[in-house]
Amino acid sequence: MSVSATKSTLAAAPASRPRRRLHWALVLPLGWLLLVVFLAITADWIGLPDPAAQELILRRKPPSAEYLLGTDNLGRDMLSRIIYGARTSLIVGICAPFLGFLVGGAIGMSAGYFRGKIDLLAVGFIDVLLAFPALVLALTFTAYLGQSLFNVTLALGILSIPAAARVSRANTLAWANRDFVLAARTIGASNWRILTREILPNLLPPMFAFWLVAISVIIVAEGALSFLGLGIPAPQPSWGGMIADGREALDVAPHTALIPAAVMFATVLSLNFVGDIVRNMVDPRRSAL
Amino acid sequence: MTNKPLLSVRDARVGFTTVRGVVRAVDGVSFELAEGRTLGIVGESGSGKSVLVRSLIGLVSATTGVEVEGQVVFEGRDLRKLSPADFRRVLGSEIGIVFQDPMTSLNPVTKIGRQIGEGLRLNRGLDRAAADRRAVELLSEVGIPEPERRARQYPHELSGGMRQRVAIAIAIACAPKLLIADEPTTALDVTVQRQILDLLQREQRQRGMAMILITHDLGVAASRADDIMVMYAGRAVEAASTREIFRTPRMPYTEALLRSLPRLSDRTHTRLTAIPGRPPDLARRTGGCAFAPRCSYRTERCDAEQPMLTREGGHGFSCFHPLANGA
Repeated sequence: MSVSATKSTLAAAPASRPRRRLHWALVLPLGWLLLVVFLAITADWIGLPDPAAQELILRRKPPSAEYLLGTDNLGRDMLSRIIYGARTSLIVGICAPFLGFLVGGAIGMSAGYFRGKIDLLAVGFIDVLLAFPALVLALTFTAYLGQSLFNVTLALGILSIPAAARVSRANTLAWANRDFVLAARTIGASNWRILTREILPNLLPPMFAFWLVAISVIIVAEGALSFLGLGIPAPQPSWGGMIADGREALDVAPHTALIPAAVMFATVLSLNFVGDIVRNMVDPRRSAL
Repeated sequence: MTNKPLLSVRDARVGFTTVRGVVRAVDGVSFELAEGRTLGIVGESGSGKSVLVRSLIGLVSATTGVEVEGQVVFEGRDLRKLSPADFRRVLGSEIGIVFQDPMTSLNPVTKIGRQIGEGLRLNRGLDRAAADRRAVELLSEVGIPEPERRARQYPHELSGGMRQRVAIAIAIACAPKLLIADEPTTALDVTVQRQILDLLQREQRQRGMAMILITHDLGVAASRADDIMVMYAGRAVEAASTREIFRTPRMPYTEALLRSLPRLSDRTHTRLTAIPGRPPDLARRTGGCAFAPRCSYRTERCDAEQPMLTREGGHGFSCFHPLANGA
């Protein structure tokens, strides 16, 4: 009893101030994200109209009881398209940085751990990748590979390699010189074991926080690709594609562009909020000791 | 010291390539260590004691720009010539090491029990459950109360002294024949230091381990080591049994070190005798004795020639003007 009591007071002392302040700042964005994820997953079962079904007589209608968010240029239900679009955005947004973090994380860790020639090579590769304008690179990939959900994810995944590699390299450098890594070597651990058992667990918290931020960047990047007509191909709804379609009717039916833009804005903002909070929680300077 | 040595080091050298040239952190050190004995390596900061010991067990060669030379024979095997896998096996199961700072020598995201059991699983082939059980036994052996509960905690939930006990438990988990303690008490409170040293000594005696105790505290070395090697500027300048070093130091540096210790018999407010000057720049070695600029017995020969480690009986010292042998 007494032990657990001291533990909780100890834990509460430094954390109480930020915790009280982040109350609504955490609940609101987290609630929004959960709603988006929930709807994206259950889209097929909640009685939505077909997002591709056109009703040309009822095009560009403002929000009403029948069409909660109105209809677009081709008379398709906006609400349905937003929710199915969330699927696309989330799949790309979550998978692309995940892909990038797998590859970039491996590159960064080997560079930071082995140093020497591997480091030189990896840093060179990262710098080359960073020197390309990001969007042009993504455009090139999708233009060559062809437009599909997979190719867009792949292209954006490649884009997130350098950032992931940098973050993981910097963190690996910081951890690899700690005595516990030397200690692991003295008990006969191999490099592979040291990398995966000693260093990787320490990298996961900062990488996770960074991944949350990367998701929002990738969602915006996917929107930009779709906006330029090189994103997810036509019948499949995506937020960027909807904004691009709505742009043509911005003067007569502004909701067709503004609603998907607002949804994307809210989602990206929420991700950034949550990402910030997670990063503060796992900040090594606060949690190390 | 008649039996065959457990560890024998011949002419160990470590050089770091820097922008200012090669820094010879360890410059031709040789010593032997018999089973069950304790060797104290004493020297001030930067004298090369940690680098020497770390180079022996392959911990400084991981980075580029480092040259390590010399022969390290452990139980008849030349460690420098083993394959990486064999080397890891020897290191893992027969040599244990305790680092200076228990804040950084434990992995902050791994439970203590797991960290202790890791070596057992790697080197002894224990399964997870057996390793966990053994970890709890080891924790209680190193004097940690409530070992079952502690084994499930993370390093940040323990005090510095307890962490160092955990580090010792990790080092002795595989019953090594040699324990290296690299300034194991420097980062700890004075009251805890003694407990940790007592623990090290007890474990060493019970297990018949040999120990290399690195310290800059002559007092620590005096009470815990059988033999002492004094290092200065990367070289061994004096090596003898602890008794001899303290009764009849031959090397002026050792004498100066002993004089700079505070004594209980001194009157209060007695000034400590400091050694004038600073340790030499290891990137710019002169041809002479490294201690010469700070030495009160310095002659022209000291500046021109490097004194070699000469032995008189079991007592080695490198000086042209050794202090009179009191005996």
